[in-house]
Amino acid sequence: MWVSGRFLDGLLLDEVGLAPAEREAVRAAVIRAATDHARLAPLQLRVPIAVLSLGFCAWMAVAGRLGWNAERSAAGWERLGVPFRALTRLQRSLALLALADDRRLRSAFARRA
Amino acid sequence: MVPRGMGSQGMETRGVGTGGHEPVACDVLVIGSGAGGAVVADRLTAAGRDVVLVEEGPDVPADLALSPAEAMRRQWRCGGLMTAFGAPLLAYAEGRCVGGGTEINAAILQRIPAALLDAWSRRYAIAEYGADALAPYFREAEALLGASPPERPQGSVTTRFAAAAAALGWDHQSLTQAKDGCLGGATCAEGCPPGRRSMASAVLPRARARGLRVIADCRVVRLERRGARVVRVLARRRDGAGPARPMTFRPEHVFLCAGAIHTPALLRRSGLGRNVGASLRAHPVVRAAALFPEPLTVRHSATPLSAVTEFMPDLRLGGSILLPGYLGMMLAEDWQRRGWLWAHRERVGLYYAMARAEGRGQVIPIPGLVEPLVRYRATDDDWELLRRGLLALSELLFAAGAERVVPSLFGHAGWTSPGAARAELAAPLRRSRAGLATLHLFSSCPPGEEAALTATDSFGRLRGLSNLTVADASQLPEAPGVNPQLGVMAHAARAADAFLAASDAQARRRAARDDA
Ligand SMILES: Cc1cc2nc3c(=O)[nH]c(=O)nc-3n(C[C@H](O)[C@H](O)[C@H](O)COP(=O)(O)OP(=O)(O)OC[C@H]3O[C@@H](n4cnc5c(N)ncnc54)[C@H](O)[C@@H]3O)c2cc1C
Repeated sequence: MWVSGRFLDGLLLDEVGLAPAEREAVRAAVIRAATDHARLAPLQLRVPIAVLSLGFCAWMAVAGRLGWNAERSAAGWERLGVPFRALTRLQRSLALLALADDRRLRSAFARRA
Repeated sequence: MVPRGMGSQGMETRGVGTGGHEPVACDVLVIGSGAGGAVVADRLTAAGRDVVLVEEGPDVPADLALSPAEAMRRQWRCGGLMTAFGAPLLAYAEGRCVGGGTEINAAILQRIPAALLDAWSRRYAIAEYGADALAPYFREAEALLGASPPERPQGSVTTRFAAAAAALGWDHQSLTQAKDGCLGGATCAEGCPPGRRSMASAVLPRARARGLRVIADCRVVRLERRGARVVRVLARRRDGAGPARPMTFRPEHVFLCAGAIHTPALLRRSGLGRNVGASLRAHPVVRAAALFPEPLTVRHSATPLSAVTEFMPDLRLGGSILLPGYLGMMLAEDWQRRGWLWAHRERVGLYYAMARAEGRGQVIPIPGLVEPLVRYRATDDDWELLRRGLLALSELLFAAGAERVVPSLFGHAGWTSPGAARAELAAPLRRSRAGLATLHLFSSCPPGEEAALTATDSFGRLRGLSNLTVADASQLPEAPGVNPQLGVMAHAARAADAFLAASDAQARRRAARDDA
């Protein structure tokens, strides 16, 4: 599963305040948990997501080489009805859910109660 | 009708009922253990019936404290990643475990408004129905689940909301919850080991004590009919990590309580019923994240237990569960625009406007796939309701002191004043930008004597079959505009009573004939 590295690293560093070594382990665990979770999606969602993910990665590679703004080119495709951004949204959502499950983050949040 | 011994779904039913094992016989087979199925099993065992309850999901021990992500993986259907297709997509969620949706919901209990029940009674020609007929069932369900108002003090995530409603002069109320000494752990959506009363914690244990047999991890794949009767029920049971094994049931009567999506899916798969799965309804919601100047407290419940009832039955405003994972998921939907709020999460609350929509959906089983395809389309009037709902919600949140209100509209940076929200929401919502979601689904097999509109008779008996009763959310004739669990329980109890009365009468007639 493709999860934006910058997105996760930002959260891990800024929010959980992990040391670089620990960060790698948590990052891997979060991606694993989010991927496992995504596998629970029904087949009718997973098949188009898998196909589109491949297409998306390929497109982003091309767009990156051409120096185009990735988010804008994804938005363009979306206007044509191809839900690329929906994919990144789903992947980020799951990664964040898995990350928020992290003990440290939960106890930080529990202080609200 | 599907030929005997041949699965309509190929992959799914292959081998079911042909594995040489003994069929399980019982008076009544209940399919699904949520708000409908558990209540039916409870009532029938109290009347001395021999009942087997099969549940597709796992039996999760009540004292197991699961984190939100674990709970979603284990107790939510497909990890909570369900979507109804349409423009736009409608994200929806269902429980899939012993206890069904009642194990993962916020346990808010509300009665369906009397005026709606009376209107449905007339519109669908439902016999012995209406506010008076259902009142005793509501009372009983409330007593069973210890329905009670929230403990005080509430956190500021609730009090700010309620104070703003009061300042605007809008009707609002505290929401009643099913609980037994809430400890304020803010774990409603994670099974709440200490305090919440659900089907698994409050209803099924007493039915089990009377002899109810519960078979978890067992999914019914097809109902086989001969003439006007269901004669065999084919299922697949998963035992540990191994492959699912076939199981067959031979019940005298079947109660189908698999919920608003899976009840019509199973009926359609089995080639049974008319007007089944074509009138699915929902409560679509638009949401908003509100940034306040100071940190919010949640105390006692991470779900704000205050709702604005001013615009009911068409619209209700309230607060969503506030845990980091859920907040994160809402923000991550449009990280580009909303991600910055994560850093301020101590000050962010999540709220919603829920519409009693008239839009309809269809449940369409797909050969070879476990999950049916669900389609949903909101009407123009529904979109107008959602626009009004979002406008009212933004007014309220600014009145509550929010500095910024970020709606669930993709690409939206949020409003910083009520005037900005008003100006934008003077025009219709842009549908392609709206992120719609729902937790409330119903009406896919409506009851009544108006045969053109309904799937079952007034008491849930499927037309054309003498031994199959539907008793779950699919029986609510239309969207109730309130949290549906209490209504589902009341409808299910009424259907169980009707079954008991009819079968007792039949037994008396038989005895009289034998005597003669
Ligand atoms: C996250 C969430 C929060 C909610 N919050 C509230 C709330 O606060 N208050 C409220 O009133 N309502 C709430 N609801 C809605 C409420 O939970 C449902 O309306 C209610 O549970 C519906 O009852 P049901 O019996 O129709 O279906 P369910 O409770 O969904 O039960 C159906 C059961 O049948 C099982 N099943 C399905 N197919 C098969 C099959 N083929 N074989 C065997 N078993 C099968 C399912 O696994 C499931 O366990 C919420 C729902 C969700 C998802």
